[in-house]
Formats: sequence, structure tokens, C-alpha cells
Amino acid sequence: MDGQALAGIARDAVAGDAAALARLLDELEPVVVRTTRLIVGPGKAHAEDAAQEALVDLARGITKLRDPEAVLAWAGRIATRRALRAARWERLRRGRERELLPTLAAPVSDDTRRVALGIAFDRLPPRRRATAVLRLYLGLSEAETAAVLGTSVGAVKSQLHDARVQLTQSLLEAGVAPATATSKGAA
Amino acid sequence: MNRHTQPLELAELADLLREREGAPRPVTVAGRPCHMRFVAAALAAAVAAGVTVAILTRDGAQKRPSRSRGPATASCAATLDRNGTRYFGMTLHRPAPLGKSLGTGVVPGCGDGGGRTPDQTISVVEINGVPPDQALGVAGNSLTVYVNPAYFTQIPHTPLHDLIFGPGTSLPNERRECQRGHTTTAAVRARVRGVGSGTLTVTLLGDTTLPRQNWIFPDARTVFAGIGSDTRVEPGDVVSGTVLVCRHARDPHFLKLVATRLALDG
Repeated sequence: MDGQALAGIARDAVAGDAAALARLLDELEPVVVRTTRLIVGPGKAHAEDAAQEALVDLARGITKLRDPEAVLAWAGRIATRRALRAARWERLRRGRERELLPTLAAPVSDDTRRVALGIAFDRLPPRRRATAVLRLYLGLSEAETAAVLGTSVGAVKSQLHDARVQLTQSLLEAGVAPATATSKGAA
Repeated sequence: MNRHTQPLELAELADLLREREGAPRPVTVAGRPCHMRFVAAALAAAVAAGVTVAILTRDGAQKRPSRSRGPATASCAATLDRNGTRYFGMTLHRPAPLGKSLGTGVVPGCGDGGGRTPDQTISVVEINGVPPDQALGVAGNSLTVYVNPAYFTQIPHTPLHDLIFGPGTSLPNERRECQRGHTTTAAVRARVRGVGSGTLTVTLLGDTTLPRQNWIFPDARTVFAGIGSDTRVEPGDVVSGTVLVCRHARDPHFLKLVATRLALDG
């Protein structure tokens, strides 16, 4: 569904159309679920719970949506906030289990680099993960990302840069060669 | 952070995120059936009807389906209902000493968009030395117990603690992540929003620079003032005490409150 159509549904939902709200939530659910899952971590029950809570927030807060054109960013913001909270919980409770995660030094898949990169991504601090998800997955601008995270544009740039550096370092520590640079990062 | 390391290519990171996005809808997580498929329609109906989203809970409780009672409160978590109490399932590392039969309990079915699994009645037994109000065993399965989340499991030498953590006094230890030099202490007062076997989901009260929506983690070294093995803690209770405010040098967003002293107010 294109942005105009989504905005139209959002407009109707804001006006109190229950059918439009149901359709809007159905359209937004994949974005919400995937955003929380990417930030909290795959296979985590809390990611699914965070998605549910974000959908509840969306339904309850629909009348507060001032700009239906920006409904995707709005949903991303709500999902991200819920996901960051869940990620923090996950991290606190699972701190000891981190030691049990597969070690970076011994990825066994044929696609060694991808496996190592995935593990390294899961070890990024939640806000770095969130920054990467908002910028590179949801496609939000730096200013929009900063607004979602309650920080500055400079901090967004710094977080994304630090995430990329940390990922490279993790690959190097795992004995996986970084990809040959083909372009300059624009973060 | 070595600022001279060549950062990962943006395109590669974006590819990774797209690869890992997973299914567009909620999926079953590690033996925990998913209950989210019906959310959108139910929410819309609830909002349209002007009712609260409490309809989303299977048990009809007047609360949202969140972790407000601890990490295991998701609708499809392993739970057992008996005599009006909901217990949460745990797997032990050592067999529980099972005792006499206590009759039956009901493992609630899981309702999701793909159909609701039926309730399951199981035979429950006493765990020797543990009051049935605090935990129940399952006939023929000594490694699975169902624990009432209203009780603290962290107090050494109490039946629940010894059942879950063994007779030692060092577990649970929530302080491993409290780094020397980056940990301070604070006096806190908080209203309990949820409890999961002694881990408290709270709203901090009074003047504080800490996030108000927070968690307090007691552990085996916490001094429980006036709290014993038979003390229940419920949502709405107010607790006070001191906590370690644990932070990490390299991660400004890490924050964990570990109780060093805890008391129930009023």
C-alpha cells in the first residue's frame, strides 16, 4: 500500500471510523512487529509482547495522530519506544544468558560473515540497534530518528557510526574480514 | 571504541536488517504460542465500543496483557489456575520433592487468531516443605513447578528459594552487572505495578532522577525488612528501601536497580 492510501485510511481512523482503524492496524502490524523484533532481538518473546503493546498504544492513541501523512513514522516511533523498553528488560534479565550465545569466534555456517554479523548486531546496545532500524529499515530521516529517540541529529549520526564501527570490530574479532569498501557511508 | 576502524558499509547493514526482519506477523516463540494475531481486529472493536483493551486478556483481569506481573504473564505463558490463584511455570535444575495429591489444576488454553487451544486439567501435587499457596508440583514431573508470583523467591533459607535456587545463599545474584566505579546507591520509594516472583515492576515515587517506570531486582543479598517467606506483594503495594543504581561505563543506556534493602510500606 502506498503512503497516500495509508494516509487516507489513517485520516478515516482518526475521524473515528472503526473499520478504518482495524485496517490501519492490519497494515501497520508488519512494520510494528518487525521493528520491535529487530530492536529487541529475534526469537524473543518480549519482542512480540512489545509489538502487541505498541499496537495497543496505536489503537488508543489514534485520536492524537495530528498528521495522517506521517502515520508510518508515528507507528515507528511508538514501536521503537516499546521495543527499547523491552530490550532493556531483556538485557537485564538475560545478562547471564549472554554468555551462552554462540561465540563470535566460531561461526559454523557457510555464510560465516552473515552469521557473525547477525550475532554482532544482537550485541549492539539497544539504542544503536534502534538507530540502525529507524534509519536503514524504516527509512526515517536523521531528524525523524532523532525525534523518535528523543535525541539530537548529531547523536543519531554518532550512534549509527558507532554501531557500524562496533560491527566491524566484532567481525574482525571473529576473524571475519570486513567487506571491501565500495562507497563512503553517508551517515 | 576505536574511531579509526573502518565502519561497516551502510548497504550491508541495511541488507542485514532486511534479512532479519522475519515474518510480517507475530510468530510462535520458543514453545510459547503466540496470541497476537487477533490484536488488530480486537483493538479496533474495543476502541469502537469504547471499552478498555482489557478484553485482550484471556483471564478477564482488568489489566493489559503485559509483563506487569513479571516476565511470564503473556497470555500464552505456562500458567496454572487453581483455587482462584494463577501460578507460573518454572523448570528446575534438580527434582522437586513431590508430596501428596492436591487434586487438579487447569492449564489455560491459549487463544490466538488461529484458534484457541482447549484448557487442560492436570493433576497437581504438594511440594514437600513448600506451602501449596506458594508453589505446586505436577504429578509425574518433578522438574516442573508452578510458582505463585506474589511471593519473593530471593530470600535464602525459605522454602521457595531453596526449591528454585537450592540451599546456598549466593543465588540469585543480580549484581554481576554492577560495575565498580559506576554503581551508586539511592533511596527509593515505589508503587508496585507488577510482580513476578519478587522482581518488581514499579513506578518510582517522590523526587528522583531515575526513570519512574522501572524495575527493582531483589537478590539473595537483599535485606528484606519485615518481609518473610509468607509475605505477599501485590500490584498497588508501596515499597521502600535502598537500591544499587548500576550503570555501565561503555553503555550510557544501561541501568539496573538492585535492592540492597527492601520493605513493604503500610
